[in-house]
Amino acid sequence: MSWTRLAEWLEFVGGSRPLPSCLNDRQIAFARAVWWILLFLVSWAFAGRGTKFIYVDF
Amino acid sequence: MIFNELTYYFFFLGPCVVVFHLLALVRSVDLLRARSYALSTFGTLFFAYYGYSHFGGWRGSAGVALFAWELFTSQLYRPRSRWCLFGIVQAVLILVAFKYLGFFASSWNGVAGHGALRIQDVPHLALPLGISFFTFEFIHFAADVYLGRIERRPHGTYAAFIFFFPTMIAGPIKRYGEFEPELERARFDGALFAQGITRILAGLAKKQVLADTFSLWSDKLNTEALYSAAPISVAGWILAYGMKIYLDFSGYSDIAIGSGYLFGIHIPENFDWPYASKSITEFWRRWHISLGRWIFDYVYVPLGGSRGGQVRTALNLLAAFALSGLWHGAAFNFLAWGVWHGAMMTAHRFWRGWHGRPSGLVWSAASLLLTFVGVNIGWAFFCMDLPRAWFALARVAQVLA
Repeated sequence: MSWTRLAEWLEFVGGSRPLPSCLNDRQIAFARAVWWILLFLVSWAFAGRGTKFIYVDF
Repeated sequence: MIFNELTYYFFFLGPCVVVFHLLALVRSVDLLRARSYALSTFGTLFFAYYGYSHFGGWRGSAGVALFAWELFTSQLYRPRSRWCLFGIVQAVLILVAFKYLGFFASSWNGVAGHGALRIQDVPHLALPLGISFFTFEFIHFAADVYLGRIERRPHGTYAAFIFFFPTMIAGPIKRYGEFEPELERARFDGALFAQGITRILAGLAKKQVLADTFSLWSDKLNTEALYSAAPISVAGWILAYGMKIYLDFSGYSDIAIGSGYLFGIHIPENFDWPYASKSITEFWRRWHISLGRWIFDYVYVPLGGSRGGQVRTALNLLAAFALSGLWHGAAFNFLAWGVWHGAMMTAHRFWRGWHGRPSGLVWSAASLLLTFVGVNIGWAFFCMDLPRAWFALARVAQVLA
């Protein structure tokens, strides 16, 4: 996988880039649901360290 | 805090998005005006709530008065009007009074020693939430009205612009000329809405999982462990800080931009793979893009930009980056960080003048590495006070010796 392809893929999964139109609606909905649950759970698991976003203090 | 607190989603973002889209169903209202008032109301409550809870109690909440005053004076702005200049000066004074007065007084006392010129009561005002960001938006608006770049619009749209709470605290720094058409066109778009949720969750994960994990290493730079650590450990901690600040701030920007998507509003991007830059000039086109644009348009160009020969250009670059450094914090280490970047930008400009833009795999790899190293040397100044930063860099240099 080239660097450009990897960057594009990361932008899809990070929500910076709209999803490609080659997927059908049902596939997109399923993939999104799984991904959202995963992101939510992983963020929740690491929550509680109580740190600030750095730029909030600027 | 704030974006990683549930109150943001349940008290502010969620209800405001619902109200914003429901207003489109009401036929008898002027939609733009109604939405502007909705955003301004939620923005006011947002600022008052977080100002109170995180930034100095009632004094923190009272910062809302600065926005009210700005809204009042902005009504007087006209192209080529002195009121615009007044608006710029007052925004600068607000920033200086709250953020830099204590720093200037302490620095003066450092020079004056214990003599009669010493300032006895160094002022320490509570810093209003997001002051560095909202004052830059105030200055941009006054300057662009003065130059005739933006048309004065109904009162509510400027209020919506400055009170748009996803970007109030730490940007991205918006432009009124871009925001107002977005607000006018905003409609519920299922695909964009879903993309917004993905972006918010990804931003949260970047912060909580990745950035906070890198903190476990980078935080050691500000402990006594620094003085007994091996050079390779210190280098690793500085690199960890570089990753932490990128993941933290780009995560923050992702949440702000994703929040905008929920309204159907596009907010300027702040990051574009900055560590993949092959020069420091390219880095500044990819890192904190909205700040870079602001500094370019409202500091570098008014100073003369690159129009006055090599020496003048170098001085303008140094001045613009020194200011950018001080904008990050009222301390000498931030000034040093800005000057370091200004010096790298100047050096790159001269280098490009002499050697053009060499191509090839080796050059690309060398440019990538050199830029990355230069940026990470800068982070040492950014995250530590000056004596510590010098010590850390000297310790890292022992690896090379």
